[in-house]
Amino acid sequence: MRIESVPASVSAPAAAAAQPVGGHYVVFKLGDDHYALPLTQVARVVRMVAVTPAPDKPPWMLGIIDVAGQIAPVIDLRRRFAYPARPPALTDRLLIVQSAGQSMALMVDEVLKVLEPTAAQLDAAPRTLACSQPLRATIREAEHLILVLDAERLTQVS
Amino acid sequence: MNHAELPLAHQAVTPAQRILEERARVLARLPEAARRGQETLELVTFHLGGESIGLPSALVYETQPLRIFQWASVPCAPPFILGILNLRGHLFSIMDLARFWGLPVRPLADQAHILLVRGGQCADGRPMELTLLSDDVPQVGEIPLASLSPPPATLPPQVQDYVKGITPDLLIVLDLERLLSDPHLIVHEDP
Amino acid sequence: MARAEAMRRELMAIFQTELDEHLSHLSQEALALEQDGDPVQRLERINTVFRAAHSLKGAARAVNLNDISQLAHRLEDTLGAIRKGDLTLRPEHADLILAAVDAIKAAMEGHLNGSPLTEAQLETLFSAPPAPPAAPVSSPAVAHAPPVAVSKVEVPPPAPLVSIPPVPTEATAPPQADEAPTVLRQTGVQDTVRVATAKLDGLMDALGELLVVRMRTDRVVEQAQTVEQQMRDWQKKWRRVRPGYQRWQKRGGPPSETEWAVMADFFARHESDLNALHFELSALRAQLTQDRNHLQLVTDDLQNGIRSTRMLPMTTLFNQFPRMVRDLARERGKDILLQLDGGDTEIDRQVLELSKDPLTHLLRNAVDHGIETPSQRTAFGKPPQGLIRLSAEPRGNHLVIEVADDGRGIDLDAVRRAALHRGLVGVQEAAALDEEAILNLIFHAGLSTAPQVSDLSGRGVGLDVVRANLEQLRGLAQIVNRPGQGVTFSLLLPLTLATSQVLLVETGGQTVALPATNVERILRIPAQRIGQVDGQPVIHVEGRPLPLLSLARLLRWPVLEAPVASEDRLPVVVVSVLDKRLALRVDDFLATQEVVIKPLGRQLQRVRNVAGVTLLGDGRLIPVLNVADLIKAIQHEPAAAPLLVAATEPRRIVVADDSITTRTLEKNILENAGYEVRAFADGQEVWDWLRRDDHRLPDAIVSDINMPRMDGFALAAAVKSDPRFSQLPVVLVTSLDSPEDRLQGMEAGADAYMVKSLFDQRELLAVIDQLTG
Repeated sequence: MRIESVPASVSAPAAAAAQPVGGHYVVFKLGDDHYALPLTQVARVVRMVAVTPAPDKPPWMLGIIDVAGQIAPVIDLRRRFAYPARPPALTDRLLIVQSAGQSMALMVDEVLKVLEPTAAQLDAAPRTLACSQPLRATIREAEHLILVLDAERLTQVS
Repeated sequence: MNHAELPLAHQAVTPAQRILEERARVLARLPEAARRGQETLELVTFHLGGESIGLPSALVYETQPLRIFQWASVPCAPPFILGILNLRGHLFSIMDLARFWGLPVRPLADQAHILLVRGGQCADGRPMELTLLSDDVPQVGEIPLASLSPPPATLPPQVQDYVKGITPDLLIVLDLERLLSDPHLIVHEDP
Repeated sequence: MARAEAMRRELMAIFQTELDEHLSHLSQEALALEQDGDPVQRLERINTVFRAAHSLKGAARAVNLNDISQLAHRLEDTLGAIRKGDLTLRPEHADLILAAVDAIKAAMEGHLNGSPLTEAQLETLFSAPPAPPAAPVSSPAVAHAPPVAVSKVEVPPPAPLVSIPPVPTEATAPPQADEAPTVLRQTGVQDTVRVATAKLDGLMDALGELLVVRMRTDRVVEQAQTVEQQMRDWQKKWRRVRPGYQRWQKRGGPPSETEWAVMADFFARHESDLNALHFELSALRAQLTQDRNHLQLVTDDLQNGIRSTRMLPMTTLFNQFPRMVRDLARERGKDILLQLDGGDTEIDRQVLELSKDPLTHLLRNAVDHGIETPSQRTAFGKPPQGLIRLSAEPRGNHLVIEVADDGRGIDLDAVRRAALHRGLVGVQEAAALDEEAILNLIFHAGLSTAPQVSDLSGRGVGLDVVRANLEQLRGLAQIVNRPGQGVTFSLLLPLTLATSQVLLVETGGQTVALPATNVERILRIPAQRIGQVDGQPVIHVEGRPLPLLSLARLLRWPVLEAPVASEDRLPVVVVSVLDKRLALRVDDFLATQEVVIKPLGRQLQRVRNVAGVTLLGDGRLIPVLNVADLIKAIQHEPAAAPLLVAATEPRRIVVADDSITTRTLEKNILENAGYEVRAFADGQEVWDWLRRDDHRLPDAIVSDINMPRMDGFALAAAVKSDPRFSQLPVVLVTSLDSPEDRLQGMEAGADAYMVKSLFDQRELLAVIDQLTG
């Protein structure tokens, strides 16, 4: 469908854009919005667990958990991205993310799917967003714009 | 979303809280060997003529119950060849290691499974692929590499050749790569 | 860009096919011009050639191959002149056309190699005069292209780094000075196929049917979803009822009013739910069954259709030979007519491709060594023109290709000497070789009987190529030699390699397949017609004894074929490999079927007696047997060594035993071995029957010892003491085994004494055979 709407004269690049660019992304939901992380950064997806409170933590950090012997901070993405706060629910998910040799757990509302976007769907993040923003790219879908996050920048304080 | 699951933090110990804590315990749990900080070996284990056998899981591509196949015996093939089966359009021989080692003949178990293994090298350079017979449902498990001891002398020599080691609970761990490279496995009878 | 290139390639491929067709047509007509004496016919042929040249010109222009277009144009011009002028046509005109054909081929090859011929090269290849308006072509001086030009075709060396090899590598090899022109060796079978529209229409029809089935699957999926939804609805209802039900279960006692109301409601709806579900499921099954049947038909059609597109008429190959034979014959100073028959026969492309070399060699052989020079032929009283007949004829699933010449035949002594000279056989061995063995020798590498080494058949590559390719094709060769009158080579080739016909038989409770090529006949033989030689069962087919073996036993199945009563007929398959034959006893014939034979996987590279395995439509795996192995296997068994012809009249044996079991067993054994058996319950019965003269005497008596009324000793004594019967062999069979008994038996005159504990079928048969033989 998408290819047909492209003018015929540029059909060759369009065909190339329809090719997957080789990356898989884990798509999840916060509120009504869709986010994604590169699949290579996501080690596991588990259901919400009890979190041990940690002293002197940023407000968006819920606490810490033990993942197979490794201690990982739990980041409440809702608070990190200023969604209305709410306590953790049994249906919440934790994305166990490996980033820069560190494990961390991201609390999200729902994990939707794993997606392999085409080059045409994938755009780099607008440069006007400061480099401190954890936004890496966007994926265009028919009904949603998916924001691709950079796990490494999530723990940096903006 | 269920209402019962919502307000957690404000209650002392709710059922939901118990669930979360149980989940946290499970998440924290480690493979036994890894907890002791040892190098481990992932194995597919099964029984064969009364022996427990372990194979490195990296070379085991698939396990299936034998009864789901329409398999056929091959006339004049050696006794260690149970027959041949069709796995999604590809034909594989079914090899009974127990008969290959000369263990006593036993009836075919109802629970018999096959393990598709691939490895070693044929004469033409391609890896050998065949299915091995198991008397029961194969399991996946992990053992610390250090728990392997050399095979006891009581093992028949034809078995000993392919043994990587034996665990304290008498699981015979095979060197599958070596087994699959053995030219004796190949049936090439002159007329 | 890429699309234009793809388009150009496609066009080139199409052009190549068309070019081959035109060139082959041109060659045929040119050769016919040479043979045909009728001026009207000749003119017609010139017209045909003219038209072909014209089309070729247009086609070459369309793909921008100007040199080819020019060559065609020159040919067209010259022919046009001939056509217009009222000329006497001469054999030279054939040369002219053939030279043009060669030039065009060379030019095309130049394009394929990426190095087109230069103008000058083209000029040397084919230079027709620029269309004289009414040229005096009748003058013999106008031989536009002398035949020598043909063998001096210079093909430019191939570009060193040609990456697309659409032509076989042998065609791009630089030509040797003394070799036949390279163009002659170009393969006629291309990677593209031209398929008759009718065949494609058939495939399209089948495809249409498949699309219908596909659309129906959508409906089936919908139906399945309905069923699923119904199940889910039911679960939902049950979930509502379940808590109440469980409470009541735990509590025990009668359900409360409300509990009962809820459950009763559920049960009431339960029935209608299940009925609805059942209805949907039946509909679904009916639909699936119908689709399955439909798919079966369509896939059969498709399979046949696609197979037939792989088939090519034999002419595709045959058409290359007249030119070759003609040029070769000229070079050798011989006059040869090549007659082609059965070119319409269709054969698998792969088989066609692989039979090209064998046929080329056989034809060269015939021209070189078979046909004599005209003067020699005249001296032998033969017509000066030699005849080679190349014919194809379908025979069942096979094609028989024959190359027959009327030349001098094969000199057996010369072959014998050559084989001796090359050390293929020893002196004594050579002397002992019979005709068949000598003829087989000529398929050996390096053996040639050519009096002088010619550049063709004498090069040491020869008929061994025939053998090698035939083996690859699972084909057979036969030679009929008529010294002084010619040789006929017959090649038996399978029509297709993709599938094979097999006979499915049941043996020892298992199904196995025998390749139909090896099945000579299937018979149901009355058990009493089975004779025996050296204790080994045999049957007679066309008057020759064939060893009869249990297939289950040969295959070492744990269960053998069920024994049959003497009046029953045994299912027997006669299998053969070349002239070796064997009769196999099976339990039943099931069917013949077209199957794909697959190898046995990487571990089972070669299993004795098994050629492969095949998958039947119902998913069953069936071993396909290797008949050559089976025949070899029994040759190793001494019992199956040279067979004597058994007596035609069945021998009659009398059996006496008071146990009905033993009696029946012995009767069966003997009858299965081909004897006629009469059984009695005791010695007295035998004795009474013997003395009646309404029957002929039996050939032997097999008797128990312990019997009521008259025992075995008494019977033996009575028989031996009566001069009418004293020659009649008596075998005593008993469970007693003491030296005294044995002695008593011998004293009574018994010819053999057998103990039942040792009693086995073969021993009994061997003893009786010895006594009655």
